[in-house]
Amino acid sequence: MNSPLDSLSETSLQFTQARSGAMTVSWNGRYLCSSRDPLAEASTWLRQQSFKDESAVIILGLGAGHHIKALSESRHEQKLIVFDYHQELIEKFKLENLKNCDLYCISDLNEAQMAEHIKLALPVLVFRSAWSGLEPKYENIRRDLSGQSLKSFSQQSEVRGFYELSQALRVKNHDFVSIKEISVALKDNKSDEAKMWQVLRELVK
Amino acid sequence: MKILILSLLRLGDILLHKQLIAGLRKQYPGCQIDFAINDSFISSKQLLSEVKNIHVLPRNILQRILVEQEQSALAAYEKLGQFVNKINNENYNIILDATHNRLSVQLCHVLKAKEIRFAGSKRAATNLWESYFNNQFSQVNNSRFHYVDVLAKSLDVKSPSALLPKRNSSKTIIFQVLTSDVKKNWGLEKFKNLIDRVKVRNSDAECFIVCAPNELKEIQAVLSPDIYDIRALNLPEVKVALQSAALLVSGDTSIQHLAAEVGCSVVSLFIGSADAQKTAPFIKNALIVQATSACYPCKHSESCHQASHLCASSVTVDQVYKNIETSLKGELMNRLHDNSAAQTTVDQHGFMLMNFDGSQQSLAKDFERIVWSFYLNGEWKSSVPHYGSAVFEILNDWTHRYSMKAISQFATQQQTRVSRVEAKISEGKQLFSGISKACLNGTASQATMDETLSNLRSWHLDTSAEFADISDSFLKLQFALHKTYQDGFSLYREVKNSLEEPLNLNLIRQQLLLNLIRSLSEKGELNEREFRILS
Repeated sequence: MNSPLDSLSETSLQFTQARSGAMTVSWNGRYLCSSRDPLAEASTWLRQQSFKDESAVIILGLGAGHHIKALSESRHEQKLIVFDYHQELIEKFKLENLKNCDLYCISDLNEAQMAEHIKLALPVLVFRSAWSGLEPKYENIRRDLSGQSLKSFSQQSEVRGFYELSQALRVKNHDFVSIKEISVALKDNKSDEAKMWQVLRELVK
Repeated sequence: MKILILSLLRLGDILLHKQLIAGLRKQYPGCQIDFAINDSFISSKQLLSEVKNIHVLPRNILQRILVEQEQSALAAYEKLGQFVNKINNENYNIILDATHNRLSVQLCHVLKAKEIRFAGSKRAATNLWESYFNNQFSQVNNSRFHYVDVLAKSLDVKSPSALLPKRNSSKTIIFQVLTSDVKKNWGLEKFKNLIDRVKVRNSDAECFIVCAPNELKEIQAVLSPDIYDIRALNLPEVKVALQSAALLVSGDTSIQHLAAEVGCSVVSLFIGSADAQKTAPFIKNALIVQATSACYPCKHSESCHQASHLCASSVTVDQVYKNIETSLKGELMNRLHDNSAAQTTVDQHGFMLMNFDGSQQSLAKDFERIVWSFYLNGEWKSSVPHYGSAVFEILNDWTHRYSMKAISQFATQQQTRVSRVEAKISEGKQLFSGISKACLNGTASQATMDETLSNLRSWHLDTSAEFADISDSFLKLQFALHKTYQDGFSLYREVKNSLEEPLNLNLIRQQLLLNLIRSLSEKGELNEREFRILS
């Protein structure tokens, strides 16, 4: 598999009109948002999202950007950080000049820049239609940004001073971090930090 | 003095936890009382006007982060940290864990206060009420006491006293026709018939249905809004309505607890997993209509497995209507042989449900509650236990509800039964004595320990079956017999301690009965021959 940071060829990106009349976009024949009614798709997506009270959220997947506009209109104070693989889409969407919206082409970010975003541990809102054709690459990025891979979770932990937790998880033999694994790793730890993780474990038992 | 009550359960529980406030204010005059609640019940904030600060646990957000994994678990950690820090910065003198579940116990391990009263604390290990809460209370159909009393005594809070309903000239009857659990619903058709009957026979009564906005459609599908007054109200609005109502008719809902709080009379329907002994509205003179099907009450966590909703069917419209009439007319005394509903009251042992069916079973239940109260309060350990005055109170209450003949018959039969219980416990002690010495000096083999435990389990099964109505006396022992032991000493300590509970309970039964028989004899209710035999 290619590295998620590999760049993509944008030659097959096409902007067309959806059946509803709104703009839609496809890449290599795959639609990156609804081909019928992308505006309805965006409003349905918006209804399903939480984290209203967070100061910033990451949105993974741009598509034609209707969902970003909808989100921006409903959450004036929230900073939106949008990640996508398609440079051309990003350039086109930048013209919308949305307030509080930062756009990043994943292929353009080096590891250090990506690590800065990972360390923030922000909520990651997923717009799956825009992943079409690149699902495994997006999934890897999603896992990193949401701290589910061992490497990204360690980065997030260490920046917050939780070295012990990071160490405890490193002895695990697979690369997936969940609350269950955290509580198992800290089972014999009597620190206040470990006790807090046990409270969280209890919440999802 | 700053006190925090951890109330991280549902709305009904929050309202019941509020009952602790009065007791705390008496114990700690001038104290500041704060609450911690879940974000799902943020609407209850409006009902907590007596409380200074309300801390909100962002439970839904934390669960969403941890389950949906849209954000790092560290974000959940930070959000929980903010909640914990906010509480810890308040420097509480006392934190009371009214939630009493595994989550709240874990939470108590990270909270800081001069004193934290919770299930896992050292204090709890010596409080028999706490042990009762952990072992007996959570079992289906097994509580002798109301939730509020068990909670208060487990937390060493002065027991709250239930109000008497306020008398007013109102003609308003409010119906809460749905509950949060389909198993606890009586049925909208039945409510329709009931309301029709109330309207016909009480033409001047104003009847209306209250519900949450999301229940409106379901209710309107059966009870036409053209005919029935259905009001979708928020909690403060319901509270205001109850303050000026004559009566609330409800299932086991938070609204019945709200009615109790404002002193509104209640007729409550207990169906499904709703156990009236545990969660009846905490007010005097409420009438509690309970299902009579064999499967009632069922487990809270299980769905109904019957072909039809048997428990709901066992409660008739006639029965509920009769109790509405009784409540409205205030004819709550002299209900001898009225088995249509129990009535809530408070005696020296706390909140209770009075039955008026006059049966030996009801007598036995009342008696056993007093036995447990003596035991859990530790009164039996005092140099002069107040058995005599307790019996005086018993007779004072019982003579309103049972014939003297029934009481005499009960005392006579119980005396024989108590001896039988004693003999049965001796059998268990005998089985245990075979291994106790070896356990103490560390020579008991695993095989011998397993064999003794197996024999004791068979004896326990047999005993619990023979004395099914007092099987809760042997519940602590049941837990001890089903544990895994690594060494003989732990087995010895656990089983010996657990055997003491049924022994002490039986000792209290014997003493109370002896005093009861003496009193009955003095009243001339036992003839000379019976008295000679029994004493």
